[in-house]
Amino acid sequence: MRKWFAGRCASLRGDLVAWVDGGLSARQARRVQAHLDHCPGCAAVAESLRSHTTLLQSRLRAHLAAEPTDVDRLWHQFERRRRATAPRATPRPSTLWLWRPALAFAVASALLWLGSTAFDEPAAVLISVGVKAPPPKLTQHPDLFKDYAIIQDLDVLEHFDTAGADAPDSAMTPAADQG
Amino acid sequence: MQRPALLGALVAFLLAAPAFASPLRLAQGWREYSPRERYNALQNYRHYQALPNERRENVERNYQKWQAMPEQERERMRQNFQRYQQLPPEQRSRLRQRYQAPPKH
Repeated sequence: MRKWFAGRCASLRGDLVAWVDGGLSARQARRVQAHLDHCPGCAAVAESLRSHTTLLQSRLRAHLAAEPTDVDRLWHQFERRRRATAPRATPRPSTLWLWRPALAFAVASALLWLGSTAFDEPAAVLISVGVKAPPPKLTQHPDLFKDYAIIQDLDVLEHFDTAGADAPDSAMTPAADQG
Repeated sequence: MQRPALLGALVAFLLAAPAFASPLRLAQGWREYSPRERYNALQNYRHYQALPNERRENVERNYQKWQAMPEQERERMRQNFQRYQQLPPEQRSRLRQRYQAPPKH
């Protein structure tokens, strides 16, 4: 928990300067504020940043009031120097890739669940899709169990003569059954 | 040195192949079924497993007859079955009692 909180502090402190300057979006600002409400360490850093920024702003205003300065030129100089001296920022590692396997796992689970509800039970699903081996008799005589309904009643079916009969009752009722 | 050994293995395989051909073909039949057909076959297998011995023997006898039937005769049985399915249950039951072979003791 402490480790997680420390990681949270590290990721939020990068936003503190922008937060003090009012440069964050409303959502980001709320996130920072919520963290500061519970983290005295970060709150102290934020307070320190705020006081330094206020001090710098007041001194700058006093300096500008004392003697006229070309602020735009000064700003460009500052930007150039900052770009030349600032270390190249390393992009924060994206955690998006973590979502892909999680999403794939969720989809696979949902499909398996749907399959198992459609087929009644997981073992039958696994055998049906070829993941699990079927009982040996099924592979030895697959046609027996494919045409099982017919084979089971073959004695009866052999006694019917369907030639030229249309109506099920007359066609399926053998002469022997009527007498 | 390796060539005669390979030739020997090839000849042995060709001689032994017919012995394996039949089970392979049967297993292939199961693999050729769709998942739905496999599922239905599995349910039928479970039904068969739950039958009493004499009913199971009857199914085995019918299966032997079914295997011996020419395709035309099987087709006639399939058509008969379609119509048989349309009969009311009590009529089917009556027909079963009349025509199903009595168990052999």
